[in-house]
Formats: sequence, structure tokens, C-alpha cells
Amino acid sequence: MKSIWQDIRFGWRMLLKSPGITLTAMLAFGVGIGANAAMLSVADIYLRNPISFPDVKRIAVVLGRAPGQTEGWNTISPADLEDWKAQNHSFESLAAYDWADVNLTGVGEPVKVQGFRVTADFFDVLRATPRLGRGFASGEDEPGREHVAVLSSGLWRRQFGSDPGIVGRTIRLDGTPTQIIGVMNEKVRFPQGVDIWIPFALSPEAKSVRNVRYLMPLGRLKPGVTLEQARTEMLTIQQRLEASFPESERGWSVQCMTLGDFVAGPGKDYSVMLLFSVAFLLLIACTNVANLLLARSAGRQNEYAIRVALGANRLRLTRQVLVESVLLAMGGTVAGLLLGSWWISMIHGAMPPEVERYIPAWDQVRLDTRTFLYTFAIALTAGVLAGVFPALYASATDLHASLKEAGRGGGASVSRMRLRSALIVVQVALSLVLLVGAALVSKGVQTLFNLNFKFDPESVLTFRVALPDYNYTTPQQRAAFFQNLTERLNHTPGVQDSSVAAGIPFLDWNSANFNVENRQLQPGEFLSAGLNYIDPEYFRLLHVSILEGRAFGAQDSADAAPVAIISEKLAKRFWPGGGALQHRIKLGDAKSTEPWATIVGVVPEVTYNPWAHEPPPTIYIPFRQHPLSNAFVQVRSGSDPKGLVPLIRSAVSGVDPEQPIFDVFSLQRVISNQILGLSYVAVLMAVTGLMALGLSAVGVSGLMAYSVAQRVHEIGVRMALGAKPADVLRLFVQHGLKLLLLGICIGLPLSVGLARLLSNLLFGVQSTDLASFFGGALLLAVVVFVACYIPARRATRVDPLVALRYE
Amino acid sequence: MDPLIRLNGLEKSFEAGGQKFYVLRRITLDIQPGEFVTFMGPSGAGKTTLLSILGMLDGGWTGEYYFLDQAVHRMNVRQRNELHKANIGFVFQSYHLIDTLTVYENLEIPLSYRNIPTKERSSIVCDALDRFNIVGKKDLFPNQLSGGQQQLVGVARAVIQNPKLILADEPTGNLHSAQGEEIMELFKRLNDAGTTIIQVTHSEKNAAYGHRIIQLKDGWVVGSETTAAARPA
Repeated sequence: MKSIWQDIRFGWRMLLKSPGITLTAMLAFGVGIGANAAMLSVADIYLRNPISFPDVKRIAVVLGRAPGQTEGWNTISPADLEDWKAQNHSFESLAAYDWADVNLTGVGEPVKVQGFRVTADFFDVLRATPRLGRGFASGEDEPGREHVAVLSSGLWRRQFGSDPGIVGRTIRLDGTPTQIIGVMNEKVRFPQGVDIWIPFALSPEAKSVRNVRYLMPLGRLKPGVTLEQARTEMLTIQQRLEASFPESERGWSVQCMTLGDFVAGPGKDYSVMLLFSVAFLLLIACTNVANLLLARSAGRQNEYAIRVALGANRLRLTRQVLVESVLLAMGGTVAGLLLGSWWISMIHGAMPPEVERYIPAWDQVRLDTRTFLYTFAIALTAGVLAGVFPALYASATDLHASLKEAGRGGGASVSRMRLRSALIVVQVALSLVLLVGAALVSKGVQTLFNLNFKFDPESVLTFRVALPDYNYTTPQQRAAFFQNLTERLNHTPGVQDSSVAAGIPFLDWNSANFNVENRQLQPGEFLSAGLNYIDPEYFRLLHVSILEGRAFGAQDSADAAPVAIISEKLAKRFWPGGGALQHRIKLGDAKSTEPWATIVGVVPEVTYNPWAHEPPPTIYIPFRQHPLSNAFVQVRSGSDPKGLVPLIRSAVSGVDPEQPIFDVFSLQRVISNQILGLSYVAVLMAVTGLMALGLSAVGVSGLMAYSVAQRVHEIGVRMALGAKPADVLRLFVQHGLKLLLLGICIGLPLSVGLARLLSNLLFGVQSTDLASFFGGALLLAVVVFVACYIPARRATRVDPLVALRYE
Repeated sequence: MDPLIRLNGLEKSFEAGGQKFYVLRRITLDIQPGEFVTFMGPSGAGKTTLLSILGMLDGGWTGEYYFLDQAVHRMNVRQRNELHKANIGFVFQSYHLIDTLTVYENLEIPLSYRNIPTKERSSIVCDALDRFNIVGKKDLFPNQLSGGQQQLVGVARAVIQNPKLILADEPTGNLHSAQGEEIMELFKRLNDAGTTIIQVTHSEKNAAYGHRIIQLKDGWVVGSETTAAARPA
């Protein structure tokens, strides 16, 4: 122990003796370790603990998968839930929830809150405990007993001023008096973004509905039952249901995943990707430091030889060099933690609050004790990794050659140079991978934006309206509200156009099975497409051209014959030569009683789900023929649409003074928020790639400078024999470019592998995107060339006489 | 009395361009405990190489080498290292002090490699500083000392663990005559106290301090003579 302390003291002294190398190495470590610390704090949430409940790994979400659906999941019907509950042996109980935007009145201004209807055993499955009052009792999800609610801590603070006497108070939700029976504790934030939990009130008839799917089930596994076993059992149950109820269940499947995986969603994959990126960056930093240490150890051969002559064995020498490397890593850790902390605050600061509330455990992303310990362990590993080769070289000192008066130990120098060159090749290869990855993800994000730039999203304002059932019980009432609203909006100064739709671009709405008339489905074939209900102004407002046929019009009223508009992908699939118009499709399977709708138009694809790798085509149905209570309203203005908000509120009040609006954002913001996660990934990868580029440049430059210093005598001899400065320059630059080429040859296949991975993960990323590969390689080549050129130019200034006399 | 060192047909060569070049040829000699032996000869004779082999710092030789009756030629690197650590001290022409360590720390280093506890090390180093009269210089770095003082520290470092054998390669080569005399007198005293010393030198004057001069030329031992100091009065 005491001899290690001796090595630490000596190592620290050696580091102080060469401040330039020490600072450079610490900075390199700091960059790599800092990036890892920041990403670890994010990934720790997604990979380990995106949601916190007692024994959370035993909670599973059981979801449906629609016929033909290849990505994502689907909700299930009440009848499915009843059958699953009755037939399964894997779960202690199966609860369920559903989205329920409700209007809260009776507490200041009417406000829309994010509610969720849940079964009475919902909190029992989660083992969630309230901070005030209680959860739902058994039977409170039966009709007549459901006028109770549990608040989230957030809503309790925001809307009720953390009133300790809140339990027992009555509020109005969608006009219905509702008693508050409890406030959940701070950590209970499921489903994401929840403000209030309300119990379901399904009648026996409602529970027997099989072809309307809206429930999200979750259950706690029984002791001893694994997720895999539960999955197998649920699949078996679903197969029995398919046999018993083929009209509604044919082709439907089941998927089970842990609650953590469900909540993390695609964030998990992206976290892993980012972790790999920063691990690459750290590896580059380690090779950089290893190169620096190797260069320094060349000047300490004499010292190492003396130590061996005095009795040091190989282990002691190795340990000494490793201690110095670890000291550098520890110094880099201090810089890294500061950098990581700054990164995290940047990430936090750039996240809009309306997005933040839906990201699991976002407020827990910070450098806590766990992250600090991980970072410390990584730093230790990095220090050892960077010091391994220099340590092995130091301990393999040729004692006799080093202690001799004459002779320069040329053999050891050559092998050290080779090793340093090999480390540079590794740096270049890894840098290329990071640069290509960054280019691909950035292009993916850009593709998404480009798909929709034609919307001119900056001048479109969107907001949502959720009409309460008690006031708008009939489709005619709902249609009339939106009709009146759009008329008022179109007469509002500053408004160029307005439109109503169930879904807007970049906000995934719904999907449905469908059938094509006179087309026999193959055995096991299921047709699935996105579904949107829109008014006649939808495409015009979004500047989406009609490729064939027409948009919806006034003639497509509630009483008119059903019509549909389909997207281009769907048209090409079934009518590749054109001529989709006047053909008929219907929602549901072949036996569905939905009416056949005549195709009256074909439009280009519009992105509704930016996360889908293979976005499905879309079917559009006239909103007037299916007026919903919950819809988006879009308003296009000639100027900044945010200035219209008071007029819009006034227009809505003019139709219904009790009706609030919510989620008021520009379409630009909606799009940005939806692809914010992807944008973050792209920015982080770009920053990582640029850091890697910087480190590689430093590494190459250092190697060239060292090479020049080592070969001063040789340069002098060459010049004395007639070499011109350009010949000397070429000698060194060629060496650097050879390393670059080798690095690119190794990095390219790795980049292709990464591209394949990204193309499976992200929309818009092509695994054969040559521009990204060449762009990354070209950028690297330019930087490496400059890094070689500058020290190589110094070589041309060597005075041959001075160089020869030096020898 | 058994010799401290016995060499029998020791040879060292290297290959270059398909040919074998000998550095040492069939070296056979004995060195008794307490002897003060000098290797002399022209440059390239193999003196320093022979010294390095005796100090177990150089490998790749053939023949037999017995140290304290132990067959060094049959030992592996680790065993040789242990034997060298326990019994041999080196003094170099260029002192080879570690520039970034103080005088105290330079003396302490060989003790730390022998896993001697800190308190004991401290005591031994202080004794050495006192014995060599360099207490006042213990916190100085080598570049703050004169050449003679550095060599003094080098000698102190070599003897600090009481080796049975001291090997000195041109110990006064970089010193002026007065300093050199001081060092040789020091060696004489150490030898009188029982330490076996083998030195390499070009200086007849330095050689005269020893008991025996072994002449080397082109890798061969070409002569061995007793010095005046060794002859009975």
C-alpha cells in the first residue's frame, strides 16, 4: 500500500513536470468522460429505471397487435379484457386505463386536464400509495359509483395550491360533480403526463363490446411467473378468442412487455445508441492519451533502465506507468464531471415543458451518486486502458541498450512508432464511424422536416378541443360546434383558413383495418392503414396537393354517400397503373358492416408518426360523416399566428362560453416537439463526432511532431544528399495519409454496420447513403491532412548542418 | 574457499547479415570473495558486456556462470533478478541517478524494490547519508550536485543494501582527478571491509587500487596479473 502511495507521489510529480502533455491528456479524458457522464445520467433512467413502483419489474403491459401491424402496439376491447382476466393464470390482476381529456370547472377558469380512466384495481397493480386520502375502492368503477377522482401531485399543486383539505372537495369534470378522494404521491406519474385519474364506469353491455378497442391493460405477474410464460399464455388465450370470435379477433395478436420497457419506448434504443457513441469517443480519448504517454515514455527509457538495474521488476514498472495514467484520468474526471453537468443542464433547458411532462423520469436526469460512481469506474477503466501499452513498453525496456553510453536503442523506437501509428489508425476509424452516424441521423431528421416543409408550419396555429359528452351527445351537435367554430374563425381578422381534423401531421392518431372491394384477401393477409377524419379545408390549409381526383367538399355531408381519400402509397399498392378513383374501400375486415366508401381523391403521404420506420399509408374520411368530440383545429395566418390566440379564444367562446381549448401551439412547434428526441440524438451525435474529429486531429498532429523530432538527423542527411523541402514534406504527409487511408478502410465497414442499424431504427435513414459515408471520410481527410501538414512543414525548416551536428 | 563468481566458457555473440559476431569468447575465470578486480582493455574488448553479464543485467549468453555456487545459467529472468537484487550493486560512469528524485529518494529506491518497510528504509537511508557525509544534500535533486557528489550518491545507492558484490563501470570516467581519487579511496575502504569489487577502467591509476587486473581483447581474456597492492610486502 505504501509503495503505491510512493508511486502516486512520484507519478504526480512527473505529471507536473510536463504540464503541456498533462493538460492535453486531462482535457482529452475530460471530453470523453464528461460525455459519458451526461449520457449515463440519461440512459440510466431509460435502461434501468424509467418508472418507479414497488417491484416494478413484475408489472407487465399487455397490448394488442392489429392484423398486419408490424410496428408499435394497439389497444384492446372491453370484451377482450374481461376474457383475459377470466382465463389467465399469470397475473394477480389485470387493470386497464384509457385516455380521457376532461374539462375541469368549478376551480377558477375552465381548464382542460390530462385525465385517464382506470379500473378500480389500477393503483393496486402499481402498488401506488396516495399522499392524501385513498385510491379507488373495489366497485368504484361500476356505473353510478364512478363520480370520484384522484389528483396527481402536480395538478394538486398547480390548480389547488397544495390545499391539505382537498380530500372530500367536489369539482366538476365535463360538467359532472366529482368528489376528490385522494392525491397520489409525487412519484406516481403513470400514465405519462397524468393530471387526474377517474374510474371507468362500464356497464355490462359496454364490457361485452368486442370490436371497439381503447383499453390499455397492465397487470402484476404472480410470484414465480416469468414474463415469457405470461406472454405464451396470453397468446394462447388470444388464439382461443380468435377461434371463438373470428369476426372481431381474426389476425389479432398479443404482446407483453415490462412497464419499464413500455414507458421507455424508443428512448431505450436511442439511449443505447448514444451510449455506444460516447463509449467510442472515450476510446478515442484513451488512444489519444496512450499516444501521449508513449511519446513521453520514450524520453524516460533511461529512468526505467535505472529502476530495473536497481531491482524493479516488470510489475512495479508497469504499475508506476499505470498509476500516472490513472492520475490523468482522475484529473480528467473532474473536468469531465463539470462538462457533463453543463451538458445535462443544456439538455434540460432546451426541453419544452409540454414535451418534458411526457418523458419518463425527466426530472431525475442529473449527476447523482450512482452516475458519479459509474463515471468514476469508467474513468478508472479509461486510465488503465490508456496506460496499458505505455506500461508494457516501459517494463520491456532493453536495459543494456538504454544504459550504454552510445547507441540509441533504434529497435525499441521503431516498434513504439508502429504502435503509435496503430493507435492513430484506431482513432481515425472510430472517428469515421461517429461522423457517419451523426451525418445519417442528421439526414434522417432533415428528411422528416423536408417531408413537411411544404406545410409552412410557422404560420399555422393548432389547438385542441374536447367536447364534453354531457353537452354534445349527438354527432349533429358535435358537427355543428366545429362548423360554427370554423365559420367564426374564417371571419376572424388575420385568419386565412381554418380546418378541423382528428389528427394533424406528426401527431399519430389512429390506424384501422380495411378492405378493398372485389379484392380477395390472401390467407393470413391483413390490410392496415392510418386513419384520419378531416374536413374539406384540411389539405388546402396544409398545402398538400391533390394528386388525383378531388378533396372533400360541402357535398360530402353526413347524409351523403360515404367517400374516402387515400394516400399515394396505398393507391400504388392496389392500383399500380393508376385508376384508384371510384374504387371502393371499407373499414374493418371483409365481414365488417361499415359502409363501402368511394375513393374520390389521392394525396401524397403525410407523416403522422415520425418514429415509425415504415410509416403506413393513410385513409381519410370526411369529418362531417364521423364528427368526433375530440379534434384538432388548425388556423393559418398571414403573419405570426400566436398573435391570433385571444381572437381564437373569443371565437370559441362565441360558440360555447364553457368550452376551453388546450395544447395551443404553432404547427412548427408541434413538429419540433415530436421530433425533439430525434433532434437531440442528431445534435448529440454531431457533437460527439466533432469531438472525435478534434481528438484525432490532436493525435495525428502529435504523432507527426514526434516523428519529425525523432528523425531530425535523417532529415539533415536527406537534405545534405539533395532532398528539397517539398520532398521532406511529402515524406511525412504521405505517412499521415497512409494512416488515414488505413483508418478509413477499417472504419468504413463499421460505418456500414452502423448505417444498417440506424436504417432499421429511424425513418429517412438509408443504409446506402453514400453521401454520408463520403462526407464523413472527406471531412476526416481534410482535418487529418491539416494535422499532418503543420508539423511536417516544420521538418522542411531543419538546417542540415545543425541536424548532423546534433547527432 | 569457494569463489564468489565462477565463469566457465562464457560466450556472447550476435548475428548480423548471416554472420556470427562474438562479443565475448570462452571466458573462464574465478573471482574470490573480497577481491578487487579490474577489467582492462581497448574499446570493444567486451569489458562492459562482461560486467553486465556478471551483474545479471544482460542475457543471451552461453556457458556456465556460478554465483555463490548457484548456477545462473540455469535460472530464468525472475530468478536472476532476485539474485541480483539481493547481492549486487551497480555504479555507472554516468551516475544514472533519477533526475526527478531527491538524493534521499534516489537512495531509497532500491530498498523499496526489496519490499523493505518504510520505517526500516528511512533508518537505512539516514545511515547511508551519514556514512557518506551527504546529510545536508538529502533534499537536493541530482542537477543541483556536482559530478563528484552525484557519483558519491551513486556509490551510496549501490552499497545501501550491503551487497556482496559491487560492479563499477568507469566510475571516475566523468570526474576530475581529485574527485576520482575520492571515489577510489571509498572503494578501497569498502573492499577492505569485505565487499568484492569488480571495476572496468582505462585508468592504470584506478586499476592499481585493486588486487588483480584481467586484460581483455577482442572478447578474449588475454592476461591476468596481480597488482602491487595485492603482492605480499
